[in-house]
Amino acid sequence: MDAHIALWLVLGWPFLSFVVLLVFGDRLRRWAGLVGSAAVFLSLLSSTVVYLAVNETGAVESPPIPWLNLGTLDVTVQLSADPQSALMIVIVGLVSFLVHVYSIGYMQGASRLAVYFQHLSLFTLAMLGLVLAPNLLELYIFWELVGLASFLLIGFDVHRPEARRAAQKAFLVTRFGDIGLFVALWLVYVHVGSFRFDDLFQAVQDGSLSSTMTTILALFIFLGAAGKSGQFPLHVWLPDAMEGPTPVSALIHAATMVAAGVYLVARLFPLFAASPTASLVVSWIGAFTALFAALVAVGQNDMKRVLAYSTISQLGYMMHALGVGSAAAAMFHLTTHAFFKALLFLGAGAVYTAIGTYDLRRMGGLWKKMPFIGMVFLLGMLALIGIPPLSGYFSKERILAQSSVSGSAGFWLLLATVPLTALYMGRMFGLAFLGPPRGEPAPDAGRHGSATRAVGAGRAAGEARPVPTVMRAPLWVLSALTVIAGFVETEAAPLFSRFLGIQAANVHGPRWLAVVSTALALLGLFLAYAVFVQGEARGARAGTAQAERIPWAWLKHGFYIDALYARGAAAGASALGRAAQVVDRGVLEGLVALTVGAVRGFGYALSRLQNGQIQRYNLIALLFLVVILLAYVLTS
Amino acid sequence: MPDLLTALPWHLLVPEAIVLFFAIVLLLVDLIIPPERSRRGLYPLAFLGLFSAAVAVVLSFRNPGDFAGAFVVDGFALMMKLLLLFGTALVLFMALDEHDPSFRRAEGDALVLLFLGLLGALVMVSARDMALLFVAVETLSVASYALVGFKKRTVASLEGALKYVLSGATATAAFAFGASFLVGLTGTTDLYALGERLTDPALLRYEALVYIGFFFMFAALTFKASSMPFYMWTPDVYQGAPTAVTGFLAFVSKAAGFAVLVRLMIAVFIRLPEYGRGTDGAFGSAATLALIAALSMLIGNAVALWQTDAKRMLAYSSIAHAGYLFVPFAAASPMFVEQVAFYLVAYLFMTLGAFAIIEAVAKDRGSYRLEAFAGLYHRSPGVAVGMLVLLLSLAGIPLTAGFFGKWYILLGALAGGHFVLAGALVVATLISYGYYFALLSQVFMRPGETERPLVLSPGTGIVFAVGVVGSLLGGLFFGPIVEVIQRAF
Repeated sequence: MDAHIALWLVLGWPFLSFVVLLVFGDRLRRWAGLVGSAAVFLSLLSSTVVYLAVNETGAVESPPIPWLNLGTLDVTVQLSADPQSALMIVIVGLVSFLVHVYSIGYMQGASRLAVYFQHLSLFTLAMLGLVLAPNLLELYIFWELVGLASFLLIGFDVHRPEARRAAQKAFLVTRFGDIGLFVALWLVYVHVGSFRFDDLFQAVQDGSLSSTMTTILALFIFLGAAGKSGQFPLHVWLPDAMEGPTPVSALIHAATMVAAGVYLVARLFPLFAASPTASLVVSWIGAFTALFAALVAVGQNDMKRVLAYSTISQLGYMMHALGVGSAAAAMFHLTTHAFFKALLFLGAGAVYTAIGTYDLRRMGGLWKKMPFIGMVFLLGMLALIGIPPLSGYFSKERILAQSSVSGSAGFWLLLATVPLTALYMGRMFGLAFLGPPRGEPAPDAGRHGSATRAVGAGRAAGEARPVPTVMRAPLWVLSALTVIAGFVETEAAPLFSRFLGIQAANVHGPRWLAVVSTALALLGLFLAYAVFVQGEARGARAGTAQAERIPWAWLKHGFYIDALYARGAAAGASALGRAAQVVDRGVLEGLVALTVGAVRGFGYALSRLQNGQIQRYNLIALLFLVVILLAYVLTS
Repeated sequence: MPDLLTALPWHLLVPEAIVLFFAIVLLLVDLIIPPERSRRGLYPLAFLGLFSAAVAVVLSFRNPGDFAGAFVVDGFALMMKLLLLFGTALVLFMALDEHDPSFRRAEGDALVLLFLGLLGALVMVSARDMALLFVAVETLSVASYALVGFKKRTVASLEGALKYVLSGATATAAFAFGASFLVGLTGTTDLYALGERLTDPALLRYEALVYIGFFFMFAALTFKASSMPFYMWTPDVYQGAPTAVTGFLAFVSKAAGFAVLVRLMIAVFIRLPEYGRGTDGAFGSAATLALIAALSMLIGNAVALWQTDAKRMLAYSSIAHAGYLFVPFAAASPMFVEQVAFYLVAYLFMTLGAFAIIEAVAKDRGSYRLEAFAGLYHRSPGVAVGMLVLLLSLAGIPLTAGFFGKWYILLGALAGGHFVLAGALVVATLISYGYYFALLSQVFMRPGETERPLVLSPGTGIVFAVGVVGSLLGGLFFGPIVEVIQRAF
């Protein structure tokens, strides 16, 4: 089929599914999952067609449809795919499809199932649109839609206050970042006159955009990206977002939406490349975030929160790579990360389906009970840590190599993060899968609660529910991808870079890098086993809890950043709020009441005038005529 | 003499001739069919008539022309005729579902009257001669008077008809009064010649008389347009008439009225020396139009806030929309014809769609009260979403046709520097949100009395669907539609 049509179909299928589920959702009930999955699958097929076309011709664009013509501004609606976006839509489509299928099993028995899949369709549509947008305004519209879908999905379980709060927090924090993107939009309009990326890059290149403005623009865009991708200090929403259903966490908060920030910076790479200041900021924040999040992850007791901080950390890697000038390395890691992180999240969901809790302190000995899931986790963990020959190794190595070659000091932060990554992952794996089973699976009163799971009450401590095939199949696919995805970009055969059209730049890091990083990773694993797994066993025997030491508390609470925000920002805001309340109640509300009263009074008076008597109607009309005539006569 | 007759371009009258022909055919068939038999069979005939007339109009785009200086066929007229024909077709669909027994018994007559009224409207938009214009306006009016009173056993309908007649009579008197001044001053009934002669400096000392003429004619046409000052008949008549007829009045009659206003504007009044510039504070024609526009918008929306009957609420809403349509006249920007034309297109879809769904819900629940809409989302989510689209379009919220129509008009006002008028437009729109959202909150947020899905009868269903789709497409394809309109001139 013609590639343009394929482009529209990529968005068209999820849009169709959204509308169908919106209107007929009530009646479809359990079939909603099939509708959603089928639509995403068809979208994935269309994405593949686009990918193949891009492979051949380098870029595919749909004919622009003129939308708004305001004076000098000409906004068109258009979809365009270059190698970067073609790759992204395939990844997004694939992961979304796997999550859809998985959700059919995971969300079984949940209420408002059709609404869930409706939101998923909306998200898929918005994410794909974001990727395919060739101008900043279109991207912004889809960016906002993605944020909306994320809000709806995190807060899906409307009956749980924690879920609602988490959704609001996610929305507010990312909104704050979005302000940056909005300002950038304005700046582009004022200084470049067009929202199209091509025009922006042209302006940067031929110097019509001053270097100061380029830097400012890049920084504002990074603010938006940092919000969505959970970079320090806007990372606080991601761990709380784990209140949403786990397939949602896998899709949105691991593989796609959070990657949107990385994608945005990669898309606007020429802008960042032209501004050394902005690139420096990006690389530093990325590196710092990576280290910071890894530290905090070590102290988490909730499986999903470990994975959430891990995601923040890995996104930091990607941002750093962009900061030091390698979009290829960042996109490569984005790809592999999408697969193994989604794998880990879906695996966590399988654990939950089996034993009803995410609390690491209550797990243990799962390897014997669910060996398949154990393998899945092992695979995901090793990939994340960067053990060859799994995909994560290749992509992480690329980033480390680029970073060291560029001479950025952030390289050392990243290197230090490697053993930390192994430490928290090893700890998680050890506590969950190794050792003897600890404690009863928690009865499911609050956590990940009523609307999302139908957990049978009174499950015995040793029992684990079987994981349905519909949930296993995606895990198989993702496992396979986790293993093989790395081979598309090796030093010998840089297929990935070639596809993206970026020079592989023959970047070879120092020889010792690969060996040292792998060694550090293994060291981390060993430490994890020694300190945590054995320590836990020792502690269980001695009856002491190991979680109370001071540095531990700091880690567990994310260095109290959240508390800082809550106290500082919230306290400041409350004071302002009280002052504002006085103004609001007295002045503003008064004004509003006055206006409303005036309008309604005006309407009431006129409505009384209309008393049903035709004589009066005609009289009023003629009186009006007379009055106007008088006005004319008297004033001329 | 025969040469003179044959030399006339009769082909220009083909659409009107078709409509007249079908009106007569319908009348004859109606007479032949025995009274007990259903009149349903007449509808296909009627649709055929409308369709053939539309085809004739489309074919006429190639050969515009002038019939004896009295009847002009130009791009604008043809475009308006298409809108009127399309609007009448939708009205026919609505009439299919009219269940009132008196209406049903006299259905054939109703169709004939609709066609005759349509004929009047078609001639109105093409009229270039004051006398022809007068006759055409009266043709449309008289047919409408009769149509309003068709539910003979319902007091509201008869009352509405009487009020309509009496209001209309006053308006006609005003029209004749105003027209007589202009014709008297210039000595011609040809609108274009009249306009030319008005610019004659010798007439300067009769400026006051010109103004009276202008003013009374415009005021008379506000009757057709249902705006200030002749607006008070609107709620009673819209409420009492059979809903299909309400649709006819709300669109066909109004659109024809505005078309005449546009033509008068272009042919006559735009040439007035003080028009559009408002000479040194004098309260002239521009100020009058601005006042008419502002008052209609504000009054229509403010009173609508108090309505509890859906049909009355929409009636006041249409008064407000007439106000919006007057803004381009007051602002007199170069785009004013496109602004009016596009808004009429958007208005066609949103108004007829809205009246259709109101009729469907009222029939289902037995009452026109707003509460009848409660819980519609749970009953029929598709219909509720369609209503959402229509109400968003009426309220002027992106991305609907109504939004773009209003936005286009607003731009025109701002570009001409009429900030007060633009401000009034914005304020009026804000006020309108109040009652549109009250209706929406009934639909989406209140529990209804029943969970039964709403069944739409085919006629109203079609009009509703067309309205929703039109409002959406008008919003998406605003640019192309405006281009088509521009090319028609």
